[in-house]
Amino acid sequence: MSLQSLPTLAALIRPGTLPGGRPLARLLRGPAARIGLAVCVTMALLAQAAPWISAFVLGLSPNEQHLSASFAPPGTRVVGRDHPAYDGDATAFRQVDLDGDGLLRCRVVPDPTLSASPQAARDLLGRVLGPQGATWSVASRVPLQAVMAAFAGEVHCPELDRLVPAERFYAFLLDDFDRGAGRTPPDPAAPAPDGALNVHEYPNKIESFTDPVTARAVQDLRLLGPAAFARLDADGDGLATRDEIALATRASLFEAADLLHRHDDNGDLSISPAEFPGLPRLRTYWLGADQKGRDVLARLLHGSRVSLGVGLLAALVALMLGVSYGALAGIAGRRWDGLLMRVLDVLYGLPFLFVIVLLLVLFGRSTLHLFLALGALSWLSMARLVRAQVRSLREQPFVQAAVAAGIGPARILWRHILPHAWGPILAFALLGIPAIVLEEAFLSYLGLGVQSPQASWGTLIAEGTRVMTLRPWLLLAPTLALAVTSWSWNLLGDRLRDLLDPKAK
Amino acid sequence: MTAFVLRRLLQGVVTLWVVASLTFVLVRLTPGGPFDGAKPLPDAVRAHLGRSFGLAEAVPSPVAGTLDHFQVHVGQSVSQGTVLARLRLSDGSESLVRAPRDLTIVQLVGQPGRVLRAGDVLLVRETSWLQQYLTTLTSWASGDLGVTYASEGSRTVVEQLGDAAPVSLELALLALGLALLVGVPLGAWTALRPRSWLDHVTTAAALAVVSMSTLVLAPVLLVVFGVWLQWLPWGGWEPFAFSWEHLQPKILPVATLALVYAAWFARLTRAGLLDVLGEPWVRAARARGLTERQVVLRHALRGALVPVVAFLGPAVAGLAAGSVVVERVFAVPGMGDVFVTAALNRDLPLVLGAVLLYAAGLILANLAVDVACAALDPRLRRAP
Repeated sequence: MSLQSLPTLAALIRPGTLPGGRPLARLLRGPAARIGLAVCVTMALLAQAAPWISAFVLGLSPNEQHLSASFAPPGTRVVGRDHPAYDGDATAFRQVDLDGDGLLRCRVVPDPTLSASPQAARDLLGRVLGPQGATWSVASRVPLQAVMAAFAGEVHCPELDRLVPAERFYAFLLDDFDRGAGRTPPDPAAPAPDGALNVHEYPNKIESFTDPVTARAVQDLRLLGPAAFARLDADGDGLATRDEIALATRASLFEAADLLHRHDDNGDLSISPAEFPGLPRLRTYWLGADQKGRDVLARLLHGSRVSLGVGLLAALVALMLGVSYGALAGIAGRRWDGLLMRVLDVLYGLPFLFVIVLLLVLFGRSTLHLFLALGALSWLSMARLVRAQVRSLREQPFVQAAVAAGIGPARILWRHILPHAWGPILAFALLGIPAIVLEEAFLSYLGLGVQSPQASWGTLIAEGTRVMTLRPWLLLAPTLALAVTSWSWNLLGDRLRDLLDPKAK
Repeated sequence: MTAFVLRRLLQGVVTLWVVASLTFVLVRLTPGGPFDGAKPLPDAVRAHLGRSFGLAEAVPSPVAGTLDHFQVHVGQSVSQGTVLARLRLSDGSESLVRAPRDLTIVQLVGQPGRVLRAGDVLLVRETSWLQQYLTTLTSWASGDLGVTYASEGSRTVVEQLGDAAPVSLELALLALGLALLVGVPLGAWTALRPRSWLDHVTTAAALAVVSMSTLVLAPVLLVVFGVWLQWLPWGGWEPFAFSWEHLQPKILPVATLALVYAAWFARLTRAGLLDVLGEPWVRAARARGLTERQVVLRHALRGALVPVVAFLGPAVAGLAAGSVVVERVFAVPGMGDVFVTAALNRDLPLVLGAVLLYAAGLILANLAVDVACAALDPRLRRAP
């Protein structure tokens, strides 16, 4: 096998360096290369910024699961109630803290049937905690509720319990009071609702509520009247829309017991502002969510870190291996050069992707093994390129002059030959990246690369393929990301090849 | 030409030998032993593995008698002459079995009180790397690739691959044929009309398709044509059956696999033809008064096809990888499917067998490609 095995890149293997002039300006002549560079740079920046984007823009980390958002289509806005992240909203705490003592207090209501018999309590405790009961600690938290109940009775949290009827109030707000009046006072005869409340429609009397529990909660939490309406109307346009109501609902989405047993860190049966986890936030799933309710966009961004990172690192491995091997073959005598090139020819015949799978099966699947293996896959053509460059530069007069001056081969290689060869070598290494990204995606798609729950484009495509008939957005996002990245890189690569190929044009 | 083919054949054999040796070394380098998976292996599988990989060798009992007790334990390394076991002979006397050479003990066979004939296996000792290597390669060369874990030893790797390989071969051949049929004429056609709108559209589309890879195309095409539009069925593959009802489910997988390579071939043909049309010998052909059709079809295309044919080597390698994805997506029961399932289950003999088979196929394909290149361009027949 000779140079033809990589025909599109064969041009690069021909000796020649970046043509003179300002290389970047020449590279970016023409819209295709500019688009390619722009997309590549954007992708790299997005990958770099992924943790900040998911923390400050999306408010969702890639492995955060919200069952309420399971299979949400793109653009869905959901209040996640499974992992309330602290949103720094101190007013929320004050709103819930009805008596204003700075604590959300709970108390234990004794259950006479249980506390009467210590033996019964101990039996219950044993049943709740299981055989490992002795190792239970406050830190494990989960059975706190059950344990409290086992010892003494029910836990009551009046302040937190108020939130449940409040949630009901918000849930039926539009159904009960929307008379389709727009901003004007409602007309008793006008029927059709318009999906928004104005200040006249908004309830301001406790008599509007037939259910006494809801009425009490609404009054306690000061949810009635124009002041409450102003709080609800976030954008101040005089209309409280469904989205704005959903935004307010987040304050009431706690189940008291759940909040207590998850966040009462010091076990004093009350939630202090420091323990208060904040409120469930209304979040937008721009690209939808997967089955576990994880945000596709956050996972895609974090996946790009893995995919592009593996691509870059493997390209680096290939660069180091290829340059060492190729330079050695290029500078060596005819006999050694022939031997090294025969070895390379034999390696070219290997079904490398399959050998990598074998490696991963034998040595375990880890990201480190993955990029080492992918680097080992792609150094072969690099070694050929470097050898061809070194051999042609070796005959140049300035190298001959260095030889005549008695400079050793290592120094000639490093100081006189390689500086002239770096341009094509680096260009070739960059061009190899999309191929490696595709190979990584291939392996991860098959379940042999990056392991769940870590995301890469390949694993995302695999997850999307499983549900592609009903939820195509899960497939579309990662495939588009992969295709666009690869395409822009190829646009850039085509231009680079034209530049480096002295024969073209 | 014969010398060239022979030289390339020899190179192919050497490559296959390198693959086999490399595989062997990798298997032996595995930390904790290659067969120490998560779950213990059935005895039938373990016995076969021990034999085919030459991991261990039996030490026979030199005389008949009853086993009294072993004087060594598993994992112990003993030097030549150490007493291994004590036997009670039929006449009531005792006999000591001594180590025939330095060895490490892998397994003790049987409990004390077991009655042995002369030559029965007494214990199993570790073999040297060289012995293991020779045993392994001999059994591979004779076509014995072991038994699969999944079948608990009742099915050999060769049987399993023999069922799946024809399906993959057919898929790859159909896709390659389709890609050539579409790609080469398209490339030639655009090369003859450079800078026309058709040329621009085709070039841009080819670049886009080349960037997409089978991994992107397969699920997307399945969703669009198989699920939304419901134009084509998929799933179910009858090898080498070409009636319309058998052909229907083959269209989508084959087209998916062929699309990427059709784009490659179009790009290469276009570039090659544009290159060649400026050559002096093409001008000479025109000067001889040949029609444009004759110039292109008889003279230029022959030269332009060299890069296309040369690309067939990497294309076959890519097709093998791409068919893995296509087979998984479209539920085609081929080698890729078998290979991935085996890899996920750490079914080592099956993975090894598949890798060796892929290597052999790839080497053969490369050989054929090089011969075809040499036939097209005599300059390539020289020794490199």
